[in-house]
Amino acid sequence: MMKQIILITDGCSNVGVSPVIAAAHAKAEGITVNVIGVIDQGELGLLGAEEIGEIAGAGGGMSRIVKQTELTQTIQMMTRKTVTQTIQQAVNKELQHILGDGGGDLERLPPDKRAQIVHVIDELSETTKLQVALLVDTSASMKPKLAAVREAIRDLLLSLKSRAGSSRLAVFHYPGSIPGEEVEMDSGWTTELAHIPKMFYKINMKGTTPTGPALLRVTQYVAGRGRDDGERAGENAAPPASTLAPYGKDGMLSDYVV
Amino acid sequence: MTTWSDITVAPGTLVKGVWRGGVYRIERLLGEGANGRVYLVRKGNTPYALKMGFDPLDHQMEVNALLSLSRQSASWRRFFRESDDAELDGRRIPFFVMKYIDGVNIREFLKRKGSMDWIYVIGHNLLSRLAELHKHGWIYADMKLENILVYGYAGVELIDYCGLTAKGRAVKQFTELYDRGTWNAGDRVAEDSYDLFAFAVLMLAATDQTRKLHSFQHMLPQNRTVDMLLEMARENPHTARLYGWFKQALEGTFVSSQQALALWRKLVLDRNMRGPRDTGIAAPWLKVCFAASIMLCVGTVCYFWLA
Repeated sequence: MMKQIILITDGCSNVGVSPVIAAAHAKAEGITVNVIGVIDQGELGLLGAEEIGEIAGAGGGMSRIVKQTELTQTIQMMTRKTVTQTIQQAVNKELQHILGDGGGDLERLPPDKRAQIVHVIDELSETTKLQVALLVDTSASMKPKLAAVREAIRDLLLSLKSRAGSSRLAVFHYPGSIPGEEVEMDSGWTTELAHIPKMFYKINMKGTTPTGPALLRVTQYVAGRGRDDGERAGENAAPPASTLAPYGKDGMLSDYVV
Repeated sequence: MTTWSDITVAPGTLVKGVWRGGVYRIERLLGEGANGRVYLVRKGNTPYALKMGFDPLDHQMEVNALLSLSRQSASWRRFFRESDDAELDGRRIPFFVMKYIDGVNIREFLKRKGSMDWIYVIGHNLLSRLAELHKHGWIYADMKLENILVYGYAGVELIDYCGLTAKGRAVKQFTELYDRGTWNAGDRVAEDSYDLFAFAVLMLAATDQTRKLHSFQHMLPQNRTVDMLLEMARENPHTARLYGWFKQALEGTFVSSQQALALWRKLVLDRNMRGPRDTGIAAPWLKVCFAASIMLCVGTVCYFWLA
């Protein structure tokens, strides 16, 4: 099972725990965090760009700053690359174990061996189980970009559904529409998103951008509720804030064990 | 990620394979794609196309696909020559060598020939090529003008194999304009109908004089529908005669590429019998020549049959 969070944002976080720390927690839970900074005109700002790079660094993923027209393609590419790279790393580790230091580098392997290894990576990338959680920044400045985000979600789901291995998608946005709520779930693990066109209409236009807290909540969801079996339609309803206990080792672990 | 995109490989540079020792002299850059650069090279006097990959993993996936194809089919055995690594500027760069095709893209070919009638035979040859791929269990996936070269008398060759996907798997590399998923016309599972859809868009792109298809590129994908493409196929005089074929390809109702090829041939030959000629003047000697060429053809076939 491979778990990814893709964070889509256009600016700096300004409330709560640092998103870089949140991403490090996600990585510790075995979840890769990728970050996409969406710009329309001008720049993301030095601070925003730096934060995006750092979140991805801590989350073991990639970061890209793109125009909204490139969003769909970028999400596709990131999702796919993350899968192949994660598998490649695991395979490299095994090879290094067998062949000794440097033995696992693809470039150092003789052509026929390399062909075989890449064949295995290719095969695993297609068949491994995959869960992708999208976390969308819906603060005021993101509003004009949400049509592009919806399209990217539709497109990603189309590709995920075409994979041989089972794949699921969950969608969250932040800040939540109810004051005080950092994040809101639009859809729990699913393979069908019938209501994409209606997504993100009920959004909170207040000024806060709680990227870190939102990322922690989603990490908790992906780590704890990311089991492959047992998803029910009922889980698609957003869990009340109280079930998403404040982040802590106990809450996280107990959720994970259940 | 390892990339050498900043390294320029100057004409005259010798590329030497680390594992197999093949030496190729770089002549010029032919093109650059998302996954690598293709150079015209020579080994002795023979020209080849040499592709250097940006990412070793992606590159090897393309090589694997080509290796597998060349084990299955004689025509790809002639197409793919070898794969190896080169040392350039202290970097190890994977490359492979394939047949050099001295051709142009379909639009350019039609322009140079000055007659749109060539599109039907180009389509026929390309569909045959696709059907051969499909027969061996592969889907080409990334069908587009840039990936196809036309040479001689409408000979065609597919020149980029990054998108090649085993049937039943998810398509990894595609171009939005040609992708049926983007047109809300199906999923991205690799199957005959996926390529046939892209082929239909390719034919529209090649014969589109109004740049209409081009304008669709700026439209949000959720607003695109197959009906727009069908309308194009109906309005364009060069594709209107094959409208029945386009309808089936765009709506995904062909069972296989063999079936699609059979219908294409039928419609195209019927069309040529009845339709007015696009250019050229009919001459009595042409019929004589035609009869002679038929005889010659039959003779050749008999000769090989008996030999």
